[in-house]
Amino acid sequence: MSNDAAKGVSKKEFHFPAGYGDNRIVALTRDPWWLFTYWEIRKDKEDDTVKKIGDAGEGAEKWVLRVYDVTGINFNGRNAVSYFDIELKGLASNWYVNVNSPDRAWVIEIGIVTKKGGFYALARSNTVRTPRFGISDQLDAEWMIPEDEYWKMFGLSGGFGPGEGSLEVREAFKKRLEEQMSSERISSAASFYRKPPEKRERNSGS
Amino acid sequence: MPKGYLSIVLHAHLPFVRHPEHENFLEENWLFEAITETYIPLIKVFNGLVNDNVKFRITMSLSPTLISMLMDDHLQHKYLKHLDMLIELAKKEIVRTKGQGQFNNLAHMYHDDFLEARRIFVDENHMNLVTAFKKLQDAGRLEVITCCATHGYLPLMEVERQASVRAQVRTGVELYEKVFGKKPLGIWLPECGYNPGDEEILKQEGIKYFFVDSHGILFGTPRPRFGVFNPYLTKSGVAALGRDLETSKAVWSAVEGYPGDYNFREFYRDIGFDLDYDYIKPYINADGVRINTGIKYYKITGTTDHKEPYVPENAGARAAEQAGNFMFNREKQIENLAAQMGDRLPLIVAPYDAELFGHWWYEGPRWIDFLIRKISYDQKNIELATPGDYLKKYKKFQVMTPSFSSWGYKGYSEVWLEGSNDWMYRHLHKMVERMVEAASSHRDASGLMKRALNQMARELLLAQSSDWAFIMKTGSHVNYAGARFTEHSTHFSELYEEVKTGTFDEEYIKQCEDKFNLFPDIDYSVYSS
Repeated sequence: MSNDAAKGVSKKEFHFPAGYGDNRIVALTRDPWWLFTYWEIRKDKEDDTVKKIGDAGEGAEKWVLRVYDVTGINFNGRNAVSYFDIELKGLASNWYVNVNSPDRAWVIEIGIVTKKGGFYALARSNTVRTPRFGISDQLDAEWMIPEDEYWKMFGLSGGFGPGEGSLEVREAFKKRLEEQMSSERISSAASFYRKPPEKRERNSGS
Repeated sequence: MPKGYLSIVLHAHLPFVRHPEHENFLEENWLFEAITETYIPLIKVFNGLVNDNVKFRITMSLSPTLISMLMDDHLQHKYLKHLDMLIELAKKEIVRTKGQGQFNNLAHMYHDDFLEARRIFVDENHMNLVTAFKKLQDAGRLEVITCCATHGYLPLMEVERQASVRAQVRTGVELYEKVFGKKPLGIWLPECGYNPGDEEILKQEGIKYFFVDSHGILFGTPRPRFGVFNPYLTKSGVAALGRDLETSKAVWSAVEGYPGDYNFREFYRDIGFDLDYDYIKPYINADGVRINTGIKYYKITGTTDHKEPYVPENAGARAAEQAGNFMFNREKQIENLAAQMGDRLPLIVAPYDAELFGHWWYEGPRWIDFLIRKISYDQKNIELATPGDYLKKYKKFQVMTPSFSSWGYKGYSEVWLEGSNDWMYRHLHKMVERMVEAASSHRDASGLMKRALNQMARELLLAQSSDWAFIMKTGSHVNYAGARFTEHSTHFSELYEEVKTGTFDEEYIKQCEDKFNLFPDIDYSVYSS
């Protein structure tokens, strides 16, 4: 029968709420270069903050995501390694953040930048890490082998023969991840979710 | 004494799709197709090997949703009806193709295969195929492992991570124990999605090993001594095994992969689409939408639309050759590794999506059959071993933390976190927060309160299935995925209101329980903090 909707057992029609009445921002790691963040800011929190800015003889200039690099520190709001701002326009409630920096830890705040350059946070996210994209420099004394032996091993592991060095292996791997895994087949049970045959060319997705 | 080991890992999974409210339901065909084309053919291959006394060791993960469906009375009966319909269609095809040479041979082949499937399903296994896998495990041939409850993608469970991951893992482990009568040694992390730290929860739930993709191992810390050719112990003591890319490429690759051979059966030429509408109408979806029947008469033939009739003998010969080629390449691979492995023999880990074999790659089960027989009789360098077998062979393994990774497109979370599906996470995260809150404030609940809390846990788990996000990104059936996600969210939120207010609608709870009846023994307190 219709595949769109099973006969529901629910009493009333359900809609996902636009918000849950929370004041929060959540960060997720997508890959070594990108984070995803979503947020919900309560009106009263925002009004209070704008008022606070006014009371300080200041004016709100723009709403931003402030993305902090908090690698290796216990972040207290002021001690980040570095940060950058993304100006928010319109009604965004989520954002893909290009941190472009693997192997770092991140916290995102949503807040208001004032005309004089001050910053008032509305909410602070959880800490997330981008994974390292490349081979660890940390060696295990108990399992040490000569440097060139490592590269041989990685080359064999990557299915592209003995590598020559860190950079080559990393590049080869990146290419491999994009090419060989670009198949949508690589996902569990994917052969059931195929598009109808007339829309596809043979082998395009095998 | 072999020079190395090969672990073939087949991961079998389908999302929980069960619609007792409909006589026919399009997406239930996923299970029916997988039973006819993958699970029964694999069972047949494995039992054939046992009967011929061929020694082999294969690892198979059966996802808890799949186990639940295979053991479900309603779906078993629906499948039997479906299979009987196929038998009837194949009979008609024998008549229709009379005098058409190869087409008629194929119609006979399908008729025989469907009858054989019926015999295996009904006579051998009394409609419950899980018993076939259990027998193979008890006979020492399969190492069956578990998977997360509903195939939830763990790396994106950022909010209430401990509770979310624990519930996904524990529910899978408990179902496994109930069905197989012992603890699972290993777990298949859905989509190989690994988030550093999750192994602590695996440890607490009694798991001994899990799999990650190649870069999960290679980019691990400290630098791994053996590449992907050996298990590593995480600090928790749970072992991590890395996917070998060479074996992966041989099968998956769109260009060079085995399934693309021109002699093999063409997936896209199904009589459900090819034949006259009035003739095929009783055998396609009840609302008249054409679907795959499983009867396909053509081989891939080439790159154009011109297709020639399928010849099973030729396809079988190619599958045998490819199995020989695969084995030869593994021997070579092991030879190349020999000098690099220090005190131990290499382990090549080759995991595949089980439904690839048979459903997508029709000749896949025969390829496995040939491969196992060849490994057993034609060479001495490689031996099949499960991760459990290999871990017993050595006392020491390097300690290492794998890197955050998955086996999806580009190796991380992009498949399950992109424009089409990113909206789901704020709701999923809210649900798990509410679940933790409700479970923690109602310890030792009984009666309707307990039933409502347990059903909330089921609905939450079902909403977390990675399948919905995946379908939204890539496939057809997008509306179904959206409807399911919405339905579980609805049930969850209505039950949450009941729990919060302490006013219960028993009829409603019952309807939810009847409709989504998996994990009957679930205990919501897994979410208590």
